[in-house]
Amino acid sequence: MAKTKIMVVEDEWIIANDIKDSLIEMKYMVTSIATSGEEAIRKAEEDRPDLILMDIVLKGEMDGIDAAKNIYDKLGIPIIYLTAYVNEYLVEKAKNSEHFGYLLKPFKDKELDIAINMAIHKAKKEK
Amino acid sequence: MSSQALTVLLIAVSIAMSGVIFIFFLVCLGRIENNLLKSRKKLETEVEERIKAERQIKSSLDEKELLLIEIHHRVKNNMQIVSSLLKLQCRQTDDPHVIEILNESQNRIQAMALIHETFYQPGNLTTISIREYIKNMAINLFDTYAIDPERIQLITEFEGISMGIDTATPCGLIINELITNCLKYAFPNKRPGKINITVKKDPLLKEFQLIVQDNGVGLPRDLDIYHTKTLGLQLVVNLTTNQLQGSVEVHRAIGTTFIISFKELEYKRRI
Repeated sequence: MAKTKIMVVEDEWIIANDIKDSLIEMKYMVTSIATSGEEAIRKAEEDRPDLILMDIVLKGEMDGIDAAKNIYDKLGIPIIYLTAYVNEYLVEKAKNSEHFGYLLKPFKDKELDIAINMAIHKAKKEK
Repeated sequence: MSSQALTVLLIAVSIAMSGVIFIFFLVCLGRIENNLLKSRKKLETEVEERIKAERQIKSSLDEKELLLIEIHHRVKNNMQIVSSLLKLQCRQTDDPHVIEILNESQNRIQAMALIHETFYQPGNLTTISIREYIKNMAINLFDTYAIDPERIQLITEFEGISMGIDTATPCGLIINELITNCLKYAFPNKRPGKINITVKKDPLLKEFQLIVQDNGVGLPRDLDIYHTKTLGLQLVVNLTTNQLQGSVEVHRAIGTTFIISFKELEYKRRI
């Protein structure tokens, strides 16, 4: 079976690489790392990953929720939000957008693995 | 002049006088009303200003709370980055000893990061709930050492205790070391067991007592906790005696029991 392709959107390079290493260890394929919402939209279109891990607080004009909405509307790719914030405003905003998962940082590899599996399963069922 | 003419004159003068008095009265009334209006306006502006000032104070208080939350959030984020850095470094080596050192460092940083995470919950900016904190730390440690919680049971007993951040940080590191010790050494060869953690506070003496007890194999007989080379126990002893100005007691009858007593550190209130 082909490896599941995942894109990581995270503006902290060190954290992004840590996540990338974890994903590779868990036998996923990482298509790319994007550091802003705009870059995420562009790279998602180019690489067509199976799933996107999206940090909510990003540098630039666009936050992760806006970027996720844009990508999901255009490409229908499932998204898991990653955030260290437990901010009511962001949770409300995320609730109102098409989201497939919400993982609080720091998370364990096992938690990430389960969240990815569930999101992909759910996306397949909805198609 | 006839008396009749005099009467008419008197009446005329009276009427004129009353008219003058009446006009004077009206003018006075107008002035009073005017003054009253002025005072009312003044009072109204004053009340308005006070309401505005109150609103400003309230919003600057809210802002202060938000800023504090933001700072805790950023400190935690930075610690997360340090932890990720160690993890990246860890993947560069195959040496089990180096991996262990890096793992332990990660756990220590995680224990400190957790303090800031537990802190940045609104309405709870100066003290930390010990229950929530230890629970999260234990989950993290059991995970790092891949311990089945069915094999080693963790039993905790707290009395809704909260602590200031200056006390909570060294206390958190001490608990981290004691749990780590239990998980690493107390139950070798998949031996099952229990770890009991109790935190009590004596309201009279204002003294905290932290008890970490296991029913494992016990510390090596010749180990003197005050003269040991392991960083973990050095941290326990020195953070307790030097930083918290408390005391460490060890009982070795069944398994190992550490009793750490200390008082809340009293710093001048900074926020």
